[in-house]
Amino acid sequence: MMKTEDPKDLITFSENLKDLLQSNTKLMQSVESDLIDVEILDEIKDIVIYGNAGVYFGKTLRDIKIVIEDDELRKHELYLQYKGPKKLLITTVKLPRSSMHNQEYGCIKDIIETFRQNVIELARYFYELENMDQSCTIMEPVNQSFKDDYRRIFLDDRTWLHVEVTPEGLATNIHLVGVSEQWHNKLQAGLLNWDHDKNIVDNIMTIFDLSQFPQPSSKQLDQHKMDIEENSTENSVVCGICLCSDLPDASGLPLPLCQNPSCGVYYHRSCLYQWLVACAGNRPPAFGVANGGCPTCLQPITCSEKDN
Amino acid sequence: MAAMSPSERRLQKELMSLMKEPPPGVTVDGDQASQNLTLWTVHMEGVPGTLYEGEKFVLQFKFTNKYPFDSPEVTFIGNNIPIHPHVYSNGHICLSILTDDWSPALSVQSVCLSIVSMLSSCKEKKRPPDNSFYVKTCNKNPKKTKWWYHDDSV
Repeated sequence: MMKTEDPKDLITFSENLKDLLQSNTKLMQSVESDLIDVEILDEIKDIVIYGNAGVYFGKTLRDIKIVIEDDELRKHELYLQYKGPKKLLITTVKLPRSSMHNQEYGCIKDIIETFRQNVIELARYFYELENMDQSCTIMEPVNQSFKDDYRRIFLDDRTWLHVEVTPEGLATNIHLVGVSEQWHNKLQAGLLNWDHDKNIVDNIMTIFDLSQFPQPSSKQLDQHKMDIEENSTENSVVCGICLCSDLPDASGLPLPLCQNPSCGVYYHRSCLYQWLVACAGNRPPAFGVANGGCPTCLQPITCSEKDN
Repeated sequence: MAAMSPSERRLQKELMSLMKEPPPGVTVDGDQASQNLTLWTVHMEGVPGTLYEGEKFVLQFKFTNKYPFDSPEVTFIGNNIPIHPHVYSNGHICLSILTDDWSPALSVQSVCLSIVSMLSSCKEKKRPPDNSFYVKTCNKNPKKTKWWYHDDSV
């Protein structure tokens, strides 16, 4: 290992030796911080042999990813960190509001069992989200996963439908993003007849009297795809007020809040609200809904403080 | 580095796009602006074929941390203040979008374009009729002036 060929003199030799010793010490340290105990390695071996879950190592042996499949062959991931013997900390669970998150477990078998139980309980939830993703054009979240328990469905280029799904797989907090009388009236009338025995997609189709879901024009879809690819760069939709796509303090992308079809400028709800309230002399508006003119096209516009 | 405030983020974006694609005859002093994002100097050339052809002007933009909810303070500075019915000899500009009609959808670029077009459409070089009185009595900040917008044609 040591490069001792032709040490020209004693100084070069000793310098080489010094370098080698130093690099070896570093190596020893990094190996040490990577080590896990034999017990857990045996456990992992068992799991891999019996094949009831996939176990993967990350940057070090202490970063472990576990993947299980449900009855519909959907893959579900969980990340944990080895903190010491019988100390396994769950860092990320790709499930909505999982109680396992940030919990410590003694062995991997327990983790897999609890995880699997969670996944089984969420079967209906997965089905509803998957069905929406397949049947509708989803505007948000941009990269859909089971961790996000909501979907924003394209109705027209000014109006999206927001639907949240409970862990039991029931739709909740259904409302429109964007103000459209036509869609709004149908939604108000239709919500009363929501049939929880039918799936969410079928219910939405009944409410809005659709035979199939509306789709954005190919141009809009291209724009949307570009947004997905370059989430926060120049091509993504930016807010007409802060000129940014993502806000540092609040989540959510700019929305088509102006109803003038020839305007087409998107705003963050919080930016537009702040402007409309400032125009009205900084008095908080009644019922949290501010009125005023669109900053771009000056047409009348309303904006609620909260996302309904 | 400390996280940028929303107004700094927006100013940074505006500066980048103005430096990359400036409107004809408009240049921003990028070095100065990037050192202090709240104070910009913009150089402007009189448009060929107008009364201001060949003249050079300097505009100063001051921003508060409420920008873009608060309009920028825009004045002509330097030796050459354009002689125009809406520009006072102290550099103050009577332009509604700088106060009452400001909107956060406007930008440094759109303000520059408005001023270029205001100059270009001028038919006779003269100071505003109330120039000497205004310059003697006004506040240093043009935004404190209650403007009476003379007309919409220029």
